[in-house]
Amino acid sequence: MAMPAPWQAQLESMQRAIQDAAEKWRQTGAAGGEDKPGFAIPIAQFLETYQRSMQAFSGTLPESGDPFFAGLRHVFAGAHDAVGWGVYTRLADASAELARAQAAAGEAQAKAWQQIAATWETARARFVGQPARGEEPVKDAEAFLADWTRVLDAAAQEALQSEAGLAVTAEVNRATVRLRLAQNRVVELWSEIYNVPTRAELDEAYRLIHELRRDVRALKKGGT
Amino acid sequence: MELSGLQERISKAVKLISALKESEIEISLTPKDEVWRSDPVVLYRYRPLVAKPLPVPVLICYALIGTYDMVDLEVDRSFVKKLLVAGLDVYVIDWGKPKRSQRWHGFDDYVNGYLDDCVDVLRRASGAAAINLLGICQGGVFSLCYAALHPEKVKNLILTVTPVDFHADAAKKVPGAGYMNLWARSAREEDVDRMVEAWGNYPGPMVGFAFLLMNPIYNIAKYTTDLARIVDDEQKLKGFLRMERWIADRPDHPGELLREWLRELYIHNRLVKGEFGFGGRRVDLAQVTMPVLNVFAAEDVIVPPPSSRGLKGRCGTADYTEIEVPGGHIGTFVGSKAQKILAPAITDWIRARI
Repeated sequence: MAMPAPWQAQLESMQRAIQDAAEKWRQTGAAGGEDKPGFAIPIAQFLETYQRSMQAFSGTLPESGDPFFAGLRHVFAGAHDAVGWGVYTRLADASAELARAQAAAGEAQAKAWQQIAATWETARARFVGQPARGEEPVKDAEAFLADWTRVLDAAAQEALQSEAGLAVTAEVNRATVRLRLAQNRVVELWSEIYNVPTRAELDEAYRLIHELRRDVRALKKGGT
Repeated sequence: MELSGLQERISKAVKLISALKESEIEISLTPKDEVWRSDPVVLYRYRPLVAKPLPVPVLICYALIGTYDMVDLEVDRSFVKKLLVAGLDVYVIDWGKPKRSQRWHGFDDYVNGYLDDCVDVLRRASGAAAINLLGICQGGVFSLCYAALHPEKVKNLILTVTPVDFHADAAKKVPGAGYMNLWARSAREEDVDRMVEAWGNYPGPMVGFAFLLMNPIYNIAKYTTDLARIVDDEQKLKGFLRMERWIADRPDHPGELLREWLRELYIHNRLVKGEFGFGGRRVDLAQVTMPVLNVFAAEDVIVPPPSSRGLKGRCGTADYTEIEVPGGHIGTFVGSKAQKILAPAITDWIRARI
């Protein structure tokens, strides 16, 4: 999530100035823009580190496994909250998780579709393989469809109730829940930005009312 | 029927359906009056159909998975109407459509709260110290817990298609049956917690989808071949549409209740272990000392018969009766064969114990 536009413009301006200075400095160094001898940090690495540090400072650095930058995110988190950027950092993280959750849900659903396709194939093989098939003509279309439905339903139920089927269902369920939680988180952060009560806040209010009503009921019924 | 004939019948069905008026497929038409209300929960009393109904009223406690209208789906096959005709004084709890504010409602709120309030309304109205409680499916679990916690207020307990031993189906796997049990047992506790965290109240359509998975192909085929088969029979067609209306009307399920339902009962099977409790009290089935009638459906794939029959020998009454009705879970109340058995059996059983 981008920081407020004036800050973003200022930051970009600063980045451009430093990059220009770095470029000029590079041109005065070794031929072909190679790193100046005697410096411990190569220019490219310095610039990347600088850029990522600025991202960390501005709250736009994505989560990564790099402990240095993870640490920087923590260092700047307080400052971000102080100037109102923190929520944008959290929103960026939440949006990234939403994208990952969507991908995971897609993968889980793909497995379910694979299972459906396999079930269809199993049913088809059983249907055409029935001993009587081909010897007796099918009475009519309705009988044909009824027979096919019976075979397909049995195969579907077998698949759903198998260990593999239950595992796929569980995976789809977990992925769906993860996606929903990720969506909730994004909505919650937008609600925070626009000062709208969040779902968690409403739930908390309902929980409080619920507990009070339960106490009132207990008093009315003499503690039952 | 040739394929062209099948197509002809399907297009005829489409024409008939589009000509139907909304009023022709209304459900829950047996006259009733609201007698109590709290939040979305409403208690109705059906208008008696005999001059002097039995003095001890019957309270029907349905599940939150689906609506109570199922007991009064059609005038001609209304379970409630049959009870009224037999001379019973019948009340029903409509749990309503739980809103976000019911997200924290659990067993304690439904059993010790709403259900207890409703029972007290019946006791005051009838003057009876204890009433007849008739639970259906999840409502049967509510009723069983209520009877264990408040036995002095229940004269007779009738359970229909009620899961009691949630792991009883595991010993003998029947193809196509008990999918919900298998699914829940394959879930982890944290899956349930995250599900509730993600949705708050679990959306009704998702509950409906879970039920659809129990018979995935037949649930699709019914819109083609099944519909074509009944299209010439206006009554059956209307019955089909009324059932569809009921199936589609799934309320959201309160989050906390779902958490208890799946974790404590489906995953851990705590009810029969004597470990289930809420509101600071343990549900001890030995406290169910009133007469118990336990009705289960022979071909129930949602609540497999062994799950219902798991009550036998676990409650504290010597007066325990089991009845098997033909058909499936919902067929118990709307199926033509079960209809001939269920209401008369319940009525006779109650009459013998008033």
